[in-house]
Amino acid sequence: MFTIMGTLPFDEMGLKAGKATFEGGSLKVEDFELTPSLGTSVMVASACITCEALNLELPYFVTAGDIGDGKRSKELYSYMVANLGTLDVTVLAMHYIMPDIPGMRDILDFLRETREGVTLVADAGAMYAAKAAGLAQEIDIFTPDAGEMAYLADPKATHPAYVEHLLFELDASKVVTLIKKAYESGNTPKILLVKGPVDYVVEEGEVVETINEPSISAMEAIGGTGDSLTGILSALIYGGYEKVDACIKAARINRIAGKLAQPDPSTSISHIIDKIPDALKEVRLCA
Amino acid sequence: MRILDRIKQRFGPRKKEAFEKGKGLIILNEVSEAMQAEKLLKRFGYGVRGVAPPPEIRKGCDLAVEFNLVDQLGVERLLRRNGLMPLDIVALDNLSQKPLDITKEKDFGRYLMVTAANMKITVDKEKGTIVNISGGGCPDVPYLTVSLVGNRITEVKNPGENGYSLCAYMLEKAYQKALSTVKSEQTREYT
Repeated sequence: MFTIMGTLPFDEMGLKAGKATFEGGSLKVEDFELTPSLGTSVMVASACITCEALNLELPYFVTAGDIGDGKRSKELYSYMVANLGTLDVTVLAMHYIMPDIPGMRDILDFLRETREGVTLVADAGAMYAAKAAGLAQEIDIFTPDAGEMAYLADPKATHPAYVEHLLFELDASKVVTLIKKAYESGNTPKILLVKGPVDYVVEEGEVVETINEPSISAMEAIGGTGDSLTGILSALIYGGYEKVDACIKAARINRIAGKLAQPDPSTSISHIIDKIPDALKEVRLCA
Repeated sequence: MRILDRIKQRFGPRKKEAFEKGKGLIILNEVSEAMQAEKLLKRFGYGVRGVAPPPEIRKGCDLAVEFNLVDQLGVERLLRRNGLMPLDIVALDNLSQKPLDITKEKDFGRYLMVTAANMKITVDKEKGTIVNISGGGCPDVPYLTVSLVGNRITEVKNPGENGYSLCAYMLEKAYQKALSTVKSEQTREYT
């Protein structure tokens, strides 16, 4: 089963778990419906769109409403630990959540015993928590941007806000320096998909592919373009694509979706994720 | 002094445990303030405890409050609203390190994107509206995005007032830089 774990920004929403669907611009899980914007909602919507186009089973979405105080994030970590054993997970994508070191440690401790055949993808708060806990190597793929790459490269930082100034100030063209530094300090998984003006696919600390076409500079400003990338990537892995290949394909698909939307920096992410089916056709992943 | 000794005894054995990953320390002026802060933060559901601060950062009282660093924005705001002004807040993983206070800007012509750590805010310089927010990983970022995007940057409640996390803390820094740029653009237009 393809499972996604992440919070949604609604104060009153309790824990929900069920098959996610995305129809007519609306994401649904159980009785809850919303229009995706920045964050996990975009990731899940993009995963749904990709799964549907590739005739894959839709993702199982475990979520809870959290507006930043972290209370329901804690419930979500606990729920996952209590229920992972019964979910028959093959791909687990973890996303926006309050970075909680004990919570992430509990999930990864549980999976360490049972995770054979499970691919773990972490982005956003889940990525921060895994790195802060010193457990990045237990994840299969992180999807950081340049700012987050500086965080992974700083062995002392437990959040991107506390990164050494020198690392943050490095020019975007120096991302490879950050990748090497992060890998040397043991704060990366085996594979990284570093998103930015140039996307880097990294395996065991070595850049194995760079993707810079189509080049749509406005995408950097549009909230959710990294979330859509993680959603597409996770769905492709669930669809059986090898991890590095899935990273390369996901980066291309996300860029093509951006190109097709003809965005400027004020464009909403919803216009871009609408183009994912056409982008999948353009890379010939579906008819 | 006796009260102080009791406090030391109570919190002393935990001293070593204070150096956990991802924790921050609030340094206050007096023991009584530290105790008030601990009580207040606990009442609002924060996972905190009183600890002895490491000697190299001891500035005021020798009781400090340990908290989850990621909660920094919400914690600072709650203390401030209750009249408790920390002398300092430090990350236990790196005592000399402070949150990033620098920003980067990227000019898209009509639009300006400001980056602070992992957070980006993009404004329409002509209309003064926030058109996109990107990055982050804490749950308040999507929440703040809903209330900020599409609105004039001079009219919205700043993210520091509604956020809780370090991501919101950095969004506030990016917001302040974008706000000052928009204001100076507007001033230039009028003059």
